[in-house]
Amino acid sequence: MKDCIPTNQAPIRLLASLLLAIAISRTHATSPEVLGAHEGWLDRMGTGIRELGRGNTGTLIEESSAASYWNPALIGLPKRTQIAMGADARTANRIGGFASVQGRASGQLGLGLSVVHRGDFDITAYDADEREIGTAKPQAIGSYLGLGLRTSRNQSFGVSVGWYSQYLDVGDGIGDVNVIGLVNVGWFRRIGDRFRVGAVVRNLGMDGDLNASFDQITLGEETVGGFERTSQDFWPKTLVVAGAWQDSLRGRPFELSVELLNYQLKPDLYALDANFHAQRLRWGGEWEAWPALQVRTGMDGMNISAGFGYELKWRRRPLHFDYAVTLEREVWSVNPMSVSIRYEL
Amino acid sequence: MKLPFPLRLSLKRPRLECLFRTTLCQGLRRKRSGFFILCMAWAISVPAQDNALVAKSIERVVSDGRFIWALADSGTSYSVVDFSLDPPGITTYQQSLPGLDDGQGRTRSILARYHHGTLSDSITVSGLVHLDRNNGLFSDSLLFTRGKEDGSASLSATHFTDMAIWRDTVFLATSQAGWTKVPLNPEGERPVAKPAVSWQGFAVGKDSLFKTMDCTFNAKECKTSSLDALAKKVGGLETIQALALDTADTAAIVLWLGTGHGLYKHVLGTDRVSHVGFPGVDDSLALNIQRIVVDSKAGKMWVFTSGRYAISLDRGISLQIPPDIGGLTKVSELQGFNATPDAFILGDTTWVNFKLDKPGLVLFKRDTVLRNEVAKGEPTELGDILLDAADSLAITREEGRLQNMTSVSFGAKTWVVLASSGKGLFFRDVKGGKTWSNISRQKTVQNGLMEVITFPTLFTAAKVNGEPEYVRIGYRLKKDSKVTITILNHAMEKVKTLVSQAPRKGGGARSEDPVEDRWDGLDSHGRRVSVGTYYVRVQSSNGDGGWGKILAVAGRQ
Repeated sequence: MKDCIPTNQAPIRLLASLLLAIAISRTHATSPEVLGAHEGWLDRMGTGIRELGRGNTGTLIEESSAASYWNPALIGLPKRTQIAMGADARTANRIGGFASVQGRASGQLGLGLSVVHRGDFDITAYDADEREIGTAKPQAIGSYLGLGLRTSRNQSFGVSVGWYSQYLDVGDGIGDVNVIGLVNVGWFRRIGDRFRVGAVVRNLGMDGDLNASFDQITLGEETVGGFERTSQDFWPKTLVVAGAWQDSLRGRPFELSVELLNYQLKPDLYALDANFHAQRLRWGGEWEAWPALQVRTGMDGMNISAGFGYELKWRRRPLHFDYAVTLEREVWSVNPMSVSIRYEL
Repeated sequence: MKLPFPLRLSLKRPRLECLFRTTLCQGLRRKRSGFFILCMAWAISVPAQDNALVAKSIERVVSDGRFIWALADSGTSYSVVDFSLDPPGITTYQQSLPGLDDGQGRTRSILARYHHGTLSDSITVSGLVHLDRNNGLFSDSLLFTRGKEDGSASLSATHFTDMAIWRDTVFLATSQAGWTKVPLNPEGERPVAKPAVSWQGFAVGKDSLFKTMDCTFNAKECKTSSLDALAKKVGGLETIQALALDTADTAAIVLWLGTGHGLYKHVLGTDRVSHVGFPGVDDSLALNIQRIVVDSKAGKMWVFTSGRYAISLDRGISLQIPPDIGGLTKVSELQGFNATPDAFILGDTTWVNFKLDKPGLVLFKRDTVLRNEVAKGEPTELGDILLDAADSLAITREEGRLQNMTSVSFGAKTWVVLASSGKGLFFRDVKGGKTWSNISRQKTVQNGLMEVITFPTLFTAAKVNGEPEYVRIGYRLKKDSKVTITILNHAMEKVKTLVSQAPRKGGGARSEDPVEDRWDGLDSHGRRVSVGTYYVRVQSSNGDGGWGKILAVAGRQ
C-alpha cells in the first residue's frame, strides 16, 4: 500500500492548483461562450480507436500510437516503432480516419507523425427556393509532427507542431482554412508504480499572444447577396490536465484515467473572464479481461463509449485490433463503425 | 460582383429520367401516333421539381390574357402560369430570359429592375428592362456609369424609376436624367429598334423641356457625369419618380410625370410641361409623387404621394382625396404606408397595395373605400381583403411583402394576382372569391423525417431586402407530434436548440413552422458561429428523427 502513495508532492500540487483554477473559473461564468460554435472541433474529437473506446483519454497512454497528437511527451517512451491506421464512420454520413507512425530516434528522443481526417461526403445543398444546387463534400485534415524527450526514467517532455486544412467545398476558397504552426506542448511523469500524471497545452500559435489564429474568406452581412471578405478566427487554446491510476482487477491489469480540459474561447494570451472558458471532463477505464484481450469504456463529456482491443502476433510482432462504439448523447446516436489496427515493428 | 453560386451543379434525376423516357418514345413516333402520344404522356409524367414556381420571391408579375409571367428576384428566370387550367398550370424557365424568336406578338407589358454595382473602376447603375410579348419575355439593358473620380453625389438619384408602354414605344423614366422614348422593334431579333436614345427633362420650377443626354441601348454606357454640370446650369433638374400614359386620345397622348415637386402633365409632341395641383390639398402634401396609375378607357387616374393619395375621374382635370368612410379598418389608421403603393383598376374597382405592415389590399369602389373587415352579422361585398391567418395564407411583414400585382382573365373569370417576397403568388377571383389561393415553390420531402432539407444550405449572413438571412428547415411528419430541433457541429457539440417539444402538424406536404424552424447562424448566446459544417437534428415525439446539414460561411467576425 505504501508503494501506491506518490512520494513527490510537487506535481500533485501543480495539478491540484490547475484543477482548482479551472473549477473556480467555471463557477464564475454567467454567459459562457458556446464551445460547439467555435473552431477546433477536429482537435476536440480526438483520434485513435483505442483512445475513443476509453472516452478519448489518450494523454497518458504510454504506448499510444498517436502520441504526437495526444501528448508529444509520450513519443519517446515505447521502445518499438509503431504504425497505425483507423477509420471512424458516424451518423449523418460523417466519416473520419487517422494514420500515425512513431518511434525512437535515439535513446532519449522520439519522433512521431499523426494525420487526422474528418469530413462529410454527402451534403445536398439547396438555394432559398428549395432548388437543389449540388452536393458539397467538406473535408478537414489535421497533421501533427512531434518530438519527445525523456529527461529521466520517469519523466519526459515533448512538443508537436501541427498544420490544419479545411476544405468546405463551396468554391472560390470560401471558408477554407490553412493553418501551419499549431503547437502542442506536453509533459508526462510517473509517480510511483501506479500513478501517472501529465499536462498538455494545445493549440498554441505563433502570434504575440500565442494564438493559433488564421484568416479565411467568408461571405459577409453588409451586402446583399453575400460578397466575399476576409475574416479571422482561431483555434481555442486548450489546457489538458490528466491523471491515471493502475491497479489490478481479478488479478489482471486495470487502468483508470481522468482528464480535465479547459478551452479558452478568446484569442488572448490568457482570458481572465470566466465566460471565455469552457471545460470538459473525460474519463476512461481499460481492463485486460483475458490475455491479449482488453475491454474499455469511458465518457468524453456526455458521450459514452466502449470498445475492445485484441493483440495477436504477425511475423512475431504484435498486431493490435481496436474497436469502439460511441453514443453521442446530445442526439442519442450510436456509432458502431470505428476500427483500427496498430503494428509494432 | 460575385454572387454565391459556388456549389457544383448536378443534373437532377427527374430530368434524366424524363429524357430517358422521351428518348424511348421516339421509336414509336413513325409507327402509331396514338401509341406515341400515350408514350409521351407517360414520359413527361415524371415529377420534376422544376415544374414548381420559379421562386418563392417574385419580383414582378405581368399579365397577358390568360397567362401571367412571374419573375424571380434574380431577374434571370421566370414562370408562366396558365390560368385557363384549374389549378393553374406552371411552366418554369430556369435559365436566362430568351431573346426574341420569330413570330412575335405585340409587346404587352414592361418591367424594370435596376441595381447599383461596381465594374472595374466605374460605379454603375444598371437597368434591366424586361419586355413581355405573347410568347415570352426578353430583356435588354441600359448601363449608367460614373467614374469614381466624379464622386457619387448624384449617383443614387440616377436610376430607373418607372416605365410605361404604348404600342411599340417604351417610355423610361430616370430619377435624374429625365425620360426617354425607346422605339421597340416589333419583328426583329433585338427588342430595341433604334439603340441610340435621347433623354429629355425640365428644370425645377420651369415648364420648358430640353435634352439632358444621349446614350445607346445595350451597346454603350450612358455617361452621367455631365448631368451635374447641366443641373448646375439650369438650377436643378427635376426628378422623375413616376410616369404614366393616358392614351385615350391618340392625337394628344398625355404623359403624366410624378416628381419631387408635384404632378406634371406633358402632351406628346409639345415641348412643355404643366404643373397640376391637388384642389383642396395643401401643396406641401401634394409633393413627392410616388406612383401614377391611369385607366385610359375609363378616364380614371390615381396619384400616390409619399403619404397621401388622390383620385381623378375626369382624366386629371380634377383630383380629390377619397373619403375615408366605410370599413372597420380605416385606411387612415392602417400603418406602414411608407413604401410606394401599387394599384390597378378593374372596372369601377381599384385594388391598392399600400404595402402596409399587415400586408393586403385595400379596395375602392370608384372613390370610396370598401369594408375590409366583417362586422357581426353584417354582409360584406368583398369580404376580408387583408391576408392573414384566417385565409390560411398568413403573410407577415417578417416573412415577406406584397411586391407587385396584376390581373388575369379566362372565360368569365378574372383573378387578381399578387407577387410576394417569400411566399410566391396569391390569387383570388375578383367576382366570386372571398379567399386567397397560393402558388409557391416547395420541394416534396420524404415522409417521417426521412429527409430534412435546409434552404439555403449555404448560410452567408447576407441581408435580403434589409431582413436578416435565415436558414430554414423543411421536413414532413407522418402525424401530428412535437418536435425538437437542435443545431450541432461536426463533433455533435450542441450550438443551439431552435425549438423544444414544439407541436407540429403531420400528414400534409410539409410540417415546419416557417418562423420558428429557422436558424440565424447564431449560437445559444447570440454569437455568430465559426465557418464550418453544422448539423440539424429534427426529433419528433413519435420516435422519428432526421438530419439536415448547413454550410455556414459567414465567419465569426
